[in-house]
Amino acid sequence: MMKTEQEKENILIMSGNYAAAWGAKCSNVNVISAYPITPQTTVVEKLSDFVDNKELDAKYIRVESEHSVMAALVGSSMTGARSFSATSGQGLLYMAEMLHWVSSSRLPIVTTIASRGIAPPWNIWADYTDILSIRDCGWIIQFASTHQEIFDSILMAYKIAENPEVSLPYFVVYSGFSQSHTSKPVSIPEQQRINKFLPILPEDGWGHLNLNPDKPVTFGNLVMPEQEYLDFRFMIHDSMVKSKKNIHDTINLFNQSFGRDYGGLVEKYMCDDAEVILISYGGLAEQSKDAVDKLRDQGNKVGLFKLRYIRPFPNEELIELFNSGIKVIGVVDQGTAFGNPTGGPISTEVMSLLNHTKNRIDVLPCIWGIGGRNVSVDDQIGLFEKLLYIKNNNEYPTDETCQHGTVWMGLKTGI
Amino acid sequence: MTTGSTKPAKSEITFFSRGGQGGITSCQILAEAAYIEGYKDVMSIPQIGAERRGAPIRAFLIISQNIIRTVSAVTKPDVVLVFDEAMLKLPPIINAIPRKNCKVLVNTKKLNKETPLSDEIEIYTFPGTSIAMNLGLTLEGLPLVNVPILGAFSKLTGLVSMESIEKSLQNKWSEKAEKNIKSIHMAFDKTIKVN
Repeated sequence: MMKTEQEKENILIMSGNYAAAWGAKCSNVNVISAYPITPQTTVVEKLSDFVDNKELDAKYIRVESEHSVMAALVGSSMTGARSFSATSGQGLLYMAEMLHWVSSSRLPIVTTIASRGIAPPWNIWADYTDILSIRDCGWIIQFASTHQEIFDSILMAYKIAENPEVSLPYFVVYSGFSQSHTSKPVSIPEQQRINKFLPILPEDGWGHLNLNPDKPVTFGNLVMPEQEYLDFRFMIHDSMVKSKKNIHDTINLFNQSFGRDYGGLVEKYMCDDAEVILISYGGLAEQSKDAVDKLRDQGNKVGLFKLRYIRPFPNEELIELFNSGIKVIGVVDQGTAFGNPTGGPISTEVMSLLNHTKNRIDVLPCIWGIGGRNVSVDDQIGLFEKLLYIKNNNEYPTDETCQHGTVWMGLKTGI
Repeated sequence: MTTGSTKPAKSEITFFSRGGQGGITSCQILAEAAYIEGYKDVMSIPQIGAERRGAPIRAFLIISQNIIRTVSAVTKPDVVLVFDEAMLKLPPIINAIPRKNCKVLVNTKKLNKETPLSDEIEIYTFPGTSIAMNLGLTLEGLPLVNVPILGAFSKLTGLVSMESIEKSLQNKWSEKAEKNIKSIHMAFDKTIKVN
């Protein structure tokens, strides 16, 4: 039965940005607020077409900046409207203040990010430093590493975000140009089936908050230090951690509804008998499956551990990996965290969990693909070879790309 | 439709055009045609920078009998499509064409003998500009070779059938596709191997 249902899906060759726009359209969003920024712009352009052609019944608000984009969505979401926008790079940073306003108001807004490098010098290509630099603002952060996953994730995002147990905003993140502007086949299920999957919008706004001119109430007042500010902060963290169960449930329900299984907060590829494992996220993590396949063909036991979520952080899955007997791990960031312990935000976070295992594990942090720098499958094989070198020789590589304990793949300047 | 077993598992195609010639649209149409043909996965990759009319533009297409996982650049294309022979004077373009194991298609009536292409690659030509002018396939007076070139591509590679390209054109332009369909057949017939 599942097969015949799937056959009804309409497969279109579309860009990653159009997959995001289709995701918002098929989620029946009520309000879109938009300000253009490369490489996101075609997301909101396509949504503008959908609204103009009456294919989507939504209020489309053009504003003067990304800060206003999110401010407008705070207003719309406070009335219980399903709200959407998209941004990139500098635009996301300009939104930063309002991002906290959204999460602290517990508003289930969904926003897609076509990640790009931060200026100066200007850079518009794939680099997750934009989203990684605001990773602690109380939004769920999920990477979509295929075009299909971009579309599917938006449907799941609203399901997770609007659950009253979660009530948190949600970022779906993919890479600028290498995903946003390339085109691949994307399967769009029948709208009736999507409607059955989507959450039902409450008539009187969200349970905790409803902006209604007929019943005027003030929100976001000043609270004194001895009042509930601390408790509200804890509740955001608590809900984020507990949302893992909701995320798993939603992924399972999505698989039952549409026959595509995203597994969980992480995806393990050839990890079961692996002697060295690479941990990474995003489009380049997906590509490194090709590197794993090539190395496996040569008899090397290597695996990929792809992080789909970084907020909430997949602690349990990582600790299970650390306790599995694995000896050597590489952790790769496609983004920078200047001056932190490794130079990469996620490698530092992954390593912070090592005290949960009694096993001795060698970890090599790496940074790749900064500002859209090309990373080929052969480059990825080169990194796996460094990990195999550590396993076989019990020492770390020392070539000129290894700086301050981290591999900066493709580094030209050296030090 | 399914692809024959003689077709390679994966092919990579580079499009060299000038801003305004429709190279990126051409890449997109061929992606759809290849998917109609029965390839399991396709990926069109427009090169993005500071595009402007007349400036060299690159686009890449990967067609595969397996799932495509790559997000990296195409550096060893199996086929190179050149929309304007004059582009072969540009070092970045000549340097991006492999010295062997590659088929190059050039839009020209007669290939300039001085063209610095390797002797070890197959070279084909087709008179795309005159085909476009004869059929009135123009944009603001400039000939559009982006559709005819797909007929020439089908002839020299056999990777995507004319039927699949026709379907892709019909999906895009419905009844208005007629002239474009005619153009791919004219290009198919007039594509010749020169090396």
